[in-house]
Amino acid sequence: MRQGSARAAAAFDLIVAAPGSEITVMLAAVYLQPSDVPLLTGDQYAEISADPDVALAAPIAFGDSYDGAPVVGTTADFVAHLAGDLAEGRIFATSTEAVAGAFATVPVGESFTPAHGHGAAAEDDAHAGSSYTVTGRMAPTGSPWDRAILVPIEGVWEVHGLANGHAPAAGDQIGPPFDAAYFPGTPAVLVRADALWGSYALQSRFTRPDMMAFFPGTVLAQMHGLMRDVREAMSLLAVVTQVLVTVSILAGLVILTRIFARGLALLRAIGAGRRFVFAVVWSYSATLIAAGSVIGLGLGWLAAMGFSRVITARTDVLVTANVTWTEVQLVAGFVSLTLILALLPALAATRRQLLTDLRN
Amino acid sequence: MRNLSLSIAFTLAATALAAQDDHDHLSEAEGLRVVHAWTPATTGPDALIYMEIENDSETLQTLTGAETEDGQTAELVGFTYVDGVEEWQVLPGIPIGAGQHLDLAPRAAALRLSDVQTPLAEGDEIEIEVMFGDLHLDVHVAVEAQGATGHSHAGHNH
Repeated sequence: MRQGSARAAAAFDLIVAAPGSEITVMLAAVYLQPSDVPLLTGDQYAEISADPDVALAAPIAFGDSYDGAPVVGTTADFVAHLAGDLAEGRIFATSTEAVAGAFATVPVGESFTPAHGHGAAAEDDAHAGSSYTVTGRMAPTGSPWDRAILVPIEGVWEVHGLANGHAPAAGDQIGPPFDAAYFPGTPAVLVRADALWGSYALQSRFTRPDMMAFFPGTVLAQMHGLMRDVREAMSLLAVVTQVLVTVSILAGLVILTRIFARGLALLRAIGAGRRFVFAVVWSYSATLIAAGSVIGLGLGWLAAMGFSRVITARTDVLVTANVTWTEVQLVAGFVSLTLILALLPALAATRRQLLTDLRN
Repeated sequence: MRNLSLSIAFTLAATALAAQDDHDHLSEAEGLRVVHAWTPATTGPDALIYMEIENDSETLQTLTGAETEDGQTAELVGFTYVDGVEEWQVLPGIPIGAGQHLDLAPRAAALRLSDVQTPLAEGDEIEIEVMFGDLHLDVHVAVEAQGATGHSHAGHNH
């Protein structure tokens, strides 16, 4: 989950927005969780995009949806930045065209009318008379943008009855440069710098009373830091569980040696030495422990894959389940410990009364 | 009269302390101001130093790094979060335009002092020279608590 959410935010170098909650803006602009946030003005956008250290300043306007998929207004450069070359079709060329995310349900060539808002509260008829035609489809990004529909930001403004970011003399122009006088506002701007140091300088430059600039990676790392505390508490529970499992296995082995006591006594009666009996019991225990651990690792991996798919389906953040060295080391440590402890029931098996076991 | 003398003495003492406090939290030269330099207490060999830098000069200044009194260098680093792993990448320098400011802050950008021999404890103080090309600025760094997120005087005007 940590890796998946971090990968989903990787394309968002720096977000500039009106002052408010960084988490709210990040969830809205990066993970497309709908929120009402204040807008940056045309003059503020113009200042950001004109900064010599800014290579890309892409407005991100959200608030509409279609069939449950967010309809997001932006620029063609942002589409290329987010997903590279399109997997199918072409990029939008007019304000009434759209590009679908990799897994958006709307097919290329279909037209649709966006609803105002999201979910149950969406107003399906609010934008009646306006429509977009899907002209292309993005490659997968492993982020919620795979289910979104991207349109020119001019289209979002137009369906809301606002100016479209350009003077009337500009005709059907879409994309930058925008005219600040005709710029209705945008909730967030993705900013990218070419130089390695650029993002850090721009973050300080655009952090001021009338706007905020933040790294989604920083906000995400802070959130993951809080989640790490919860994870550590759960790890403690897992350790306690492992101790209980180890004790249960030992008890099970003791019971098994009692069940096989008559057979072991017969072995000794026909001439097998104590060391041979010891080796038989311990090898049997070792086989059970090793096989159980491997099967447990496999079942755990399958369960993690199942949970990952559920989380991916519910959040649209690509979550993958991997068996890493950490899990392998954990299993190896557990196996080593229980193999050592299995020496005890093996030793106990050699100390049993031969005649008593033969009579039972 | 005695009360008045005591009040004056107390005011002068407080002013002197405040001036010392300002001196500790502020360094400036040629229009460059460094305010509220701090670092969290350390347990490992690295110390990340944060500060607010204001360039009130009329020329662009480039922050390149820092060095301690004993010649140990601190490199300029920027925070990255790739695949859920926190890392700091070394930066060649960050230009600060005339009239602009740069904040070195946790999980953003910092000066990284490596191979710290003795762990830094809360309340300790270290002296460094912050380098803007050939211009070096003596800066007093306060050591805050290990989990601190800012200088204890952050928000004060100096």
